[in-house]
Amino acid sequence: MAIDMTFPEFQIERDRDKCIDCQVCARQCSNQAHFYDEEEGIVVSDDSKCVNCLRCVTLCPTKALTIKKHDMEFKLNANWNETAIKEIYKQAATGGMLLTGMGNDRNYPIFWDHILLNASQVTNPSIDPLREPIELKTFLGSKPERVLIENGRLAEPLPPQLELEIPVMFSAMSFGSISLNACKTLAMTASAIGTMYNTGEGGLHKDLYKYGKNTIVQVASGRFGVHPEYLNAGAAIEIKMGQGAKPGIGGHLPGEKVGAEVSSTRMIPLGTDAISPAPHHDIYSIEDLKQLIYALKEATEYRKPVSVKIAAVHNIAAICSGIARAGADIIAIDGYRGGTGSAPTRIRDNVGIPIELALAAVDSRLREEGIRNRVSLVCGGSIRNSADIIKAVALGADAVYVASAALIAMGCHMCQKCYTGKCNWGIATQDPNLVKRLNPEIGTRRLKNLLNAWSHEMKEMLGGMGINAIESLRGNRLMLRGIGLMDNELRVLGIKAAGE
Amino acid sequence: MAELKTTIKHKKIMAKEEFCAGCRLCEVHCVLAHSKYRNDIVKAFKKIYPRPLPRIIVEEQKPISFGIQCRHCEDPACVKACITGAMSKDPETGIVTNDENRCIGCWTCMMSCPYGVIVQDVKGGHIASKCDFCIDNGMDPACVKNCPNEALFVVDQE
Amino acid sequence: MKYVIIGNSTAAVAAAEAIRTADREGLMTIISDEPHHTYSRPLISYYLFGRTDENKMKYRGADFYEKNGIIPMLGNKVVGIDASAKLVILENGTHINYEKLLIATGSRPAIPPIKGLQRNNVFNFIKLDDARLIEKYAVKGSKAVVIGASFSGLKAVECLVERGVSVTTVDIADRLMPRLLDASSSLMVEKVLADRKVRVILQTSVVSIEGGKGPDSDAESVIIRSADGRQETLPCDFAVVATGVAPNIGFLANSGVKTNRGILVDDKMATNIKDIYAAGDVAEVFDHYSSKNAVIATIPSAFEQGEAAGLSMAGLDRKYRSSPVINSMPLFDITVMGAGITESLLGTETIIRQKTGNGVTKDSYMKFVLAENHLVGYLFVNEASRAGIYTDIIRNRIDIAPFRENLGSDEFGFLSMPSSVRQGMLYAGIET
Repeated sequence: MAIDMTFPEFQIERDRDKCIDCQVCARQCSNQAHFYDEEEGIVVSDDSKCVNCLRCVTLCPTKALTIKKHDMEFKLNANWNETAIKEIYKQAATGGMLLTGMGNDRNYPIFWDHILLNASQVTNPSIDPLREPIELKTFLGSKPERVLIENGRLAEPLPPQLELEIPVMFSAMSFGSISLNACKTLAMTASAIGTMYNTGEGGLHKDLYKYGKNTIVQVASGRFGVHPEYLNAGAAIEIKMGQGAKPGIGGHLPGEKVGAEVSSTRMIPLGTDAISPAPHHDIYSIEDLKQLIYALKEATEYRKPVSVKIAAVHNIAAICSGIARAGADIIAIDGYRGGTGSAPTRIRDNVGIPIELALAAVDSRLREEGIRNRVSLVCGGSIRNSADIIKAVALGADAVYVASAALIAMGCHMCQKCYTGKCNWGIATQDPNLVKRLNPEIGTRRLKNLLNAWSHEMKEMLGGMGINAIESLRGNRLMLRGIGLMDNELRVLGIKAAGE
Repeated sequence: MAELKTTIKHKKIMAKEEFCAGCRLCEVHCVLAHSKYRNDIVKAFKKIYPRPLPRIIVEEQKPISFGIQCRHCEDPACVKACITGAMSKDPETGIVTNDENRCIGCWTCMMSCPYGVIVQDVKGGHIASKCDFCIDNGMDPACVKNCPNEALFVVDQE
Repeated sequence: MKYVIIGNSTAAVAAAEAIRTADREGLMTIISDEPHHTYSRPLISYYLFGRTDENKMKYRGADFYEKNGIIPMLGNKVVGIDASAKLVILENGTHINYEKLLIATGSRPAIPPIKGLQRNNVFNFIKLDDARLIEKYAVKGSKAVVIGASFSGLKAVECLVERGVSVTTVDIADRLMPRLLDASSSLMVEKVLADRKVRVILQTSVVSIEGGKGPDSDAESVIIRSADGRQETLPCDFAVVATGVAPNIGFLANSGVKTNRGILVDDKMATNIKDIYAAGDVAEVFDHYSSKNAVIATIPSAFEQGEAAGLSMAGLDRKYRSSPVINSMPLFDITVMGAGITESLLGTETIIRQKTGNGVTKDSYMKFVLAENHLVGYLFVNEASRAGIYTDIIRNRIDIAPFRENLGSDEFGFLSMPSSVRQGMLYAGIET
């Protein structure tokens, strides 16, 4: 038998004075890290199975459990650290690619945390959001070169727009990678708040058609669940060219996660792997993309905006210029910190560029080329809080996409084991025993709370800058200053250094 | 013709089986709420032997589970079947309770209850035990309050 | 309205309470030949071994009569009824008039053909006063013979054993509680009795109870004869006769009230005479489960009958419909439960589940009696959990075809049934 050279990543500490052996932890752990020893009459734990999802800790009625990074240590080594060594052990044992979930967790710089906001003081008074209305409403879609007015009315109709109450939408998460209850939560929240959620490449489940006017339906390379009713069900259509977490490769949903509902929604056979190819096999050039964009517009009678989602990679500015000229109404850029249900670790952690830099570069280029009005820019790939949103808008975004933050509101604890399908919080799983743990009523309540809280905070920050409408902040680089950034970074971001 | 007069409120606890996670925290809190150490869960579980029985029954056949307890019926079969008169329905609150001093553990109520929610407390005094709607806890059922997924709720049938 | 109720036990109390839900004004009188506040008769064995006392035995609180506006005439025996004059005739000569009358006189002991029953230390086991008489004789080290291994006979055995009496029980049948138990379940009960040093003698009749000279003098032994003719003499300090009960209808001889085994009633609990009703052990009703007339001598049934009678008497249009007959008997550390039809009659099918105890759990036995796809009865030994669900399945004639393999399974419950059946049983009539 081969030796297992790894040791557990986490250790489970059970305070025996507090533990009442109620077995709630044993019943709830889908990884079977806790189990009840009938003979001894106590609950015991197996550290090697723990993934640090904290389900047991949260539910324990006496708070007897603590999960910690395992005490065991390799000899200290700044180069060959624990992660580097264990990854090799794992691959030597299995011969497989390392898989992971959620977004890049490596120690790269977070540019949001190097950007500071302005506040008005002397010459331009700040606005108190409790006394004056501050407009967060945002319209996404192509804007015309100029607005022609005749007799006090628009002479030409505007291209189709999405109306958002706040500049925050839920980014693509497929039904299959997440549970139906999680999808319902996103749909119900988007509907209640007045924003959009995105189907991802899993198609649209029949129970969710009623939230159609708050849905962006995605057309990805596998074309799962794409049929005429689907295209017309949503408020907009998004062509997925790439995703921040795994630029250049396609999606992969293992057959175990393809149950009856996923199978019928994606229109694939039960239990088969759902593999989305890397490219759309009918898009090999920018002209092919333009063809698909217009084919979708024809299919929906030009009533819905068409968005193109791409991963932030090198030369992103040139790519977006091409997409804008190809007829897209919205471009969604996904940075390298973006989350996923499953991706090869090396791709997730080494491919792509930060969204902050990509966004700034694209916004600047489109303005330089005089075509910024043709598209709305949406950015995602780790928007963690309302300050990130404000900074993103100031860098040029019309709106942001959040996904990981939404899942965290629903209960995600970032254990990054989404690809196992054993999510203890009922989010990234299709196991009915686990899916039922996410009550959409509770999830919606929490997610609405998050967005409402962020709205209040955004209004405070805007008011502090003396701005009473989000559109006045869009691309307003003068409201930002950099801190601890190098000259080239400041230049790409198009902002001055703090103090200047 | 004479009219039947009734002013009894019918509160019931019901379950949403689609959200029960099968964790059984409802059982833990039921035991706690009925123990003498109502505010100390560790003492309630470690100092009392034999451990009191929970009065909620969690049925489970994966992937479905749900908790069920006394429905405090309008026309309670257990009250009619009780040979000692220990089971009674309070005319004010509508709650059906078992007088543990008078119950002699004949189990006839267990045979009458159509929900099968009366349990045999053999060790703890050989009496029939069932949900009392947390009547000593301000009628704020501990199971409903502590369900982490809001799978239990109170219905007021008035 | 003047209501008169003869009887002071379950059916009478249920009727009184039912009348009061509809009519708080009418006069009400309860007449009982026993001098006691309403009490629960099955508790007399618990009284004898100290589990309950005279106060806790009360079936309703001490203020029951006052609270419900009832005039209790306790310790008064009824000897006849003049239906045309609407009078109840008491032993002391008093006449009580009524507008609506309920006869709920319950059971009397059935007298077996045994010589010597009149002796001082030969007792019935049906009411509190019987228990009080037995108390003096049932001392540690004494010997007793219990004649009749019926439900109450075995409860008598139990309380006597708990008092330290050495007990022998005799029955003519080949098993204990022959109308309830089958051979397998009887063996399980016999084992429990044997563990407690009770001598069980079956298929044996009692010839006579012998004792000193003079017909009333104390009994000293019981003569028995087995089926194969062997005779034996059992020495004893006292004897208890528990060979069954019969409806207490003797006093109705000239009343005109129609009786069979018990008083015949319709589905409004009315007898053949206007304004006279009957309920409880004394009544003979139509049992929907066996599809024939029956005297159902159980407390749950007595309550339902009394309640229905009371509502009818108060003028409400309530029909009585029999429920499955249920009997639950804890005996030492065993529990026996029987519901509906527990015998394997012609046209029925039986499913048996027998389990061996594992140290924590006891040996158990479950018998299900089915007719086509309906459960018509069950018999459980040491399996009480969720029993009421099975009773409800009998009552509502639920089609068990979709889940018959689950009957008697360890985790039997609503999840053992298909979703549509479960939803109907759990959520019927409830708006959420």
